[in-house]
Amino acid sequence: MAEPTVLQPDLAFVKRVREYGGDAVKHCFQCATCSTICRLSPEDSPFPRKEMIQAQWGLKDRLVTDGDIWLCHDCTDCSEHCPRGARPSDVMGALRQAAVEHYSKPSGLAKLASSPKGLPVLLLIPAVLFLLIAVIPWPFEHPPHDGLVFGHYWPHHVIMALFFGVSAFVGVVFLIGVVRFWKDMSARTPIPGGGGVVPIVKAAIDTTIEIMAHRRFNRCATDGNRTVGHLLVLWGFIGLTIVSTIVGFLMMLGLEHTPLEQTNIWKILSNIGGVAMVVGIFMLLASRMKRKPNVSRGSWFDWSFLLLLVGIIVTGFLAQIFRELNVAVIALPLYFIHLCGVWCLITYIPYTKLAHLVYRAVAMTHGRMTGRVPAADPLEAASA
Amino acid sequence: VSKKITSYVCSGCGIGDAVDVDALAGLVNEECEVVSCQTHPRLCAPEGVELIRKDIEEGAEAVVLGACSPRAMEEAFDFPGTLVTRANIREGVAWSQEAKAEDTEMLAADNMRMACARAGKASVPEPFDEPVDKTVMVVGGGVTGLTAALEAASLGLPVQLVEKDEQLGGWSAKNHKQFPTKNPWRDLEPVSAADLVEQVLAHDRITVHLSTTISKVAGQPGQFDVEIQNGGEPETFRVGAIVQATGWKPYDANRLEHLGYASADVITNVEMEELAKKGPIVRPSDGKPAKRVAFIQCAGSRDKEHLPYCSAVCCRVSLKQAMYVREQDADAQVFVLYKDIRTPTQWEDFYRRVQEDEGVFFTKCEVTGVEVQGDGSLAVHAEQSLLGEDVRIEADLVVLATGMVPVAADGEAIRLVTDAKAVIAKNESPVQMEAARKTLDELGHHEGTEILNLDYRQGPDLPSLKYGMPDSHFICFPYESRRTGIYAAGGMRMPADSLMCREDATGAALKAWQCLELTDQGKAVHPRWEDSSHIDIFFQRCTQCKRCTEECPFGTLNEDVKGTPQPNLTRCRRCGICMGACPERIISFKDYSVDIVSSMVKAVEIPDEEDEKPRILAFMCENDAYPALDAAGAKRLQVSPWYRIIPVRCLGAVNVVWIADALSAGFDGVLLVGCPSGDDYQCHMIRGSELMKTRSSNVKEKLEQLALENERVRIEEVSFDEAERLHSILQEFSEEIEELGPNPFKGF
Repeated sequence: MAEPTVLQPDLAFVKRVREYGGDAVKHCFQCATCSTICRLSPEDSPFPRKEMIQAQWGLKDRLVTDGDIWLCHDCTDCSEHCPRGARPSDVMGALRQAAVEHYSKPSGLAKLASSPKGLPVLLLIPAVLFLLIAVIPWPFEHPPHDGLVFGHYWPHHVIMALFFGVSAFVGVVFLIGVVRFWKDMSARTPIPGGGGVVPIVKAAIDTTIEIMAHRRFNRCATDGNRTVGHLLVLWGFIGLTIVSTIVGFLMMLGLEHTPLEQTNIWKILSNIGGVAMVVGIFMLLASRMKRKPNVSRGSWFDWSFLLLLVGIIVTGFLAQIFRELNVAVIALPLYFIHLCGVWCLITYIPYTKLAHLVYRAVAMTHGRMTGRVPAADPLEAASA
Repeated sequence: VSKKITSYVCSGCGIGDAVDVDALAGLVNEECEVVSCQTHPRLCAPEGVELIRKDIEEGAEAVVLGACSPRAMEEAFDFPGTLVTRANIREGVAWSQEAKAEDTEMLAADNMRMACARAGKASVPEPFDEPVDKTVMVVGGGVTGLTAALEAASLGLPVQLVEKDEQLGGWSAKNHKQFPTKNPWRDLEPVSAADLVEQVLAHDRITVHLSTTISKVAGQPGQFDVEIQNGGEPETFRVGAIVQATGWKPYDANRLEHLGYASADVITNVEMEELAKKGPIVRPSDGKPAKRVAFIQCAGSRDKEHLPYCSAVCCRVSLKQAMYVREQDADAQVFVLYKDIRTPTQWEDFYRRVQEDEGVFFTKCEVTGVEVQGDGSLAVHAEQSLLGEDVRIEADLVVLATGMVPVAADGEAIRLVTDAKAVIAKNESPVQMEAARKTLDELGHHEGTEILNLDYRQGPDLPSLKYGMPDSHFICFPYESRRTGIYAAGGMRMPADSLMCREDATGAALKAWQCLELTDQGKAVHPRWEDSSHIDIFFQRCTQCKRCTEECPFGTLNEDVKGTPQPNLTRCRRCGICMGACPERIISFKDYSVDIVSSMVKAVEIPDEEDEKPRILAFMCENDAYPALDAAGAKRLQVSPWYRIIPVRCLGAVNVVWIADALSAGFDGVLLVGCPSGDDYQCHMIRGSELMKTRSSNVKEKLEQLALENERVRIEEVSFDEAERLHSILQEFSEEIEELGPNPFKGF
């Protein structure tokens, strides 16, 4: 018989989960309605039931390393049916935030991102940075151009260098986080056969296809808007990332100069991406606001991310419009805010909800290899 | 004709469609000893009632009503001072037989014959007139006793409150705080016992005796003579009824070795309460703060080796005590290890309240042991936890949530011990000595537990049921005990919290009041309340066989030294079990006796063997079986026409001579239907069916002597709601009797 586990609750962790939106976690009495109703939960050690009692007991080490918390897509079916009002889906969200904090170093930044209290500091960093950039007399020459040019104040070389640098930092943070997470998950649930590069790549490709198609997400979504909205945001985000990276390189190479004409192919693509995101975000916001407070209240983690995205896109579009209209006194502050927002988005990815893009993908990949994520919908498979 | 009997046949409610009422009335007029037999289209209507009333005014001493079941229209047919006998021709004939068939008419006629036979023999009971003292004695001064005393006093009754401790308040007063008793059911409250104590002490109708025990209670309801002891000279007073509220004691934790009770830091919930009241909550062994406290629920409860039942309150007590720990120290951790959390009704909100506390950790599990670790802390081992694995929990203090054991004595067991000692003292035969020693071994520990010290032949205290709580039907007859006029309430009746205790106390006080009032009117109490008949013993023929004193479920009869029964009429519940038991047939009621029923049996006309019309006599208990039969009639279930049914007060009130009478009169079979017996018995008279089963072994012997088949007599148990089952029993038995063929004694 295995040696019994010594249970040592971490009171501070329980408090943290409750702050992060899992405030009702203690109401759970383990009836298992949640894991029965969940369409994504596996038969064996199903979530979110086990996570609920572990969270009640403050078993932090088990929870943050638990790949299952990322297999949940927050459809709120469990909270809808919970007889105790314990809102398991919100608890799962809180646990994901705690896991992000655990894996994304330095944890100081993660702490700041975890509540509105950290917001002034988080915003102050880019504000000072971009003010400094604006006031420093950079020795760059600017090709002649009619009207307002943001590049005169925030030279694109500097901005690009800065953003590439920050992106590299983010990459490293994620790399460290992902490797630790993978090891932790494998220690808990070993991959049959031990893994290997080829199976991992294959599972990663399957996961990517899955994510791009949102099949699993759609299976659980009770609200059709959520899938469409989420897909729009995802595709818009990926599109914008690719386009801005390409434009950045082209500019560094001197092949493109800002401001781009509205007819420029890259400009058109980025505007399409922007519009897709705006539409998607508003669909997500609408579906989130429709949620009943007894089912889901969301958390700072959810809302801050959505609001940041909205802020970036709205200021981006408005800055463009006022630049075209040549109203510098409005366009410049808007662009400044937009830059700060983009900087935040990129730099704080590992610490905000956007980190789910990475950790969820990793957990799903791992899950594919361990069987926690079946290749096909078990219900469909059963009915077929 | 010595008695003037008038009779009536009603044709309402479908009787007229099924039975030729004019012919029936003619038959009664011709055959039975009645002054007249009239028909009426609706006897219970004012005109019908008026018809009967007029006959009574003109001198009718008894009336026979061929109408509905005696369970229907009781108010319409209530003629005080006149004996009313019903022949059930509605449910029993019209509704359950083929209309106008020959057998149907024969059944109706026999029912009329039986009723007339009864009317001829029975007479109107005369209530006894005994002086009744309306004082209530309350035994126990905890929340239950205090409430019962106040409730009784508020009804205007004088109260004698006896408490063995030096102070009133019981366990409640010893609590640090109490769990919520009101909306929003979330907050701990100061204990409320103090308020009750104050009210009791201030009440001028309540006399309080502290540090007092009861050395003797003699007599009967309305006339209990109590002797109490409180150090000095014994004091005596008379009371009319008693509420026993002696409460509970915690289960002995010394028997919970596997839960580490030997360690100083493993304490019971009662000890935890003391610790909290004294404050602060620390480890008893070294006085260090209790940072981690584990509560082990159901410690020795719901466990066959210890207390097999749930004590109902331990969960709430632990939740309350978890709050003590958390209120004392915001960093403290509390573990609640349960089998099930049981927080009924609004206390679910209290459970939620404690659940919400992030420092209280709950899991269902099976605790397998508690051990002291090297550093002095404790380790609790648990299997099958909700975390899906075996776990170990480290704690500074472990609290065992032990259950409640009733503070009650088992009067019947004590009596057996007393009898066994008498056998040994007399140095009886080796077989008897052996049996007596065995009894002493098994039951000797009951000696010295006496509380009421009743001067009853059947033992000094209330008889108890399997868990040591008083024997009364938990749902159907709450507060009742098997000693008339003595009512059980609170923790000694069932595990209860203080709110339940107060409700119980009110119920028991009302029962006591009801008993006093009914006794004063010379009437019975539950379940034959308002029955003013009573037993009458023809002592000249008594053989001192003691069957009546032994078998009475309510301890009515004491014995003198020779063993002659000494009736205590106000203890009697009028079930007739003594009448059924008596081999000399010398116990009777005015309206129910061996002779009356024998005449009814003999009044049935038994057809010749060639007619191929079997006759089966059925004695049916009035409490469950007979109502079930009425229900079968109301459902229009067709019953075999061979049955002739006689309702009896209890199956235990069936004297076996009736069975012999029936078989010699030519009945082909006898069916006896009583209430379910066994651990979860439903018998209103506790052991009617059980006694009948014992007696029926004598009947079987008799049958063998007569060379009759055993199968001709059958005992069945049916409960109130089993009309369909009763119907199929009747059909099956009549088929069996048909197969057996006619009783060879027919026609002799």
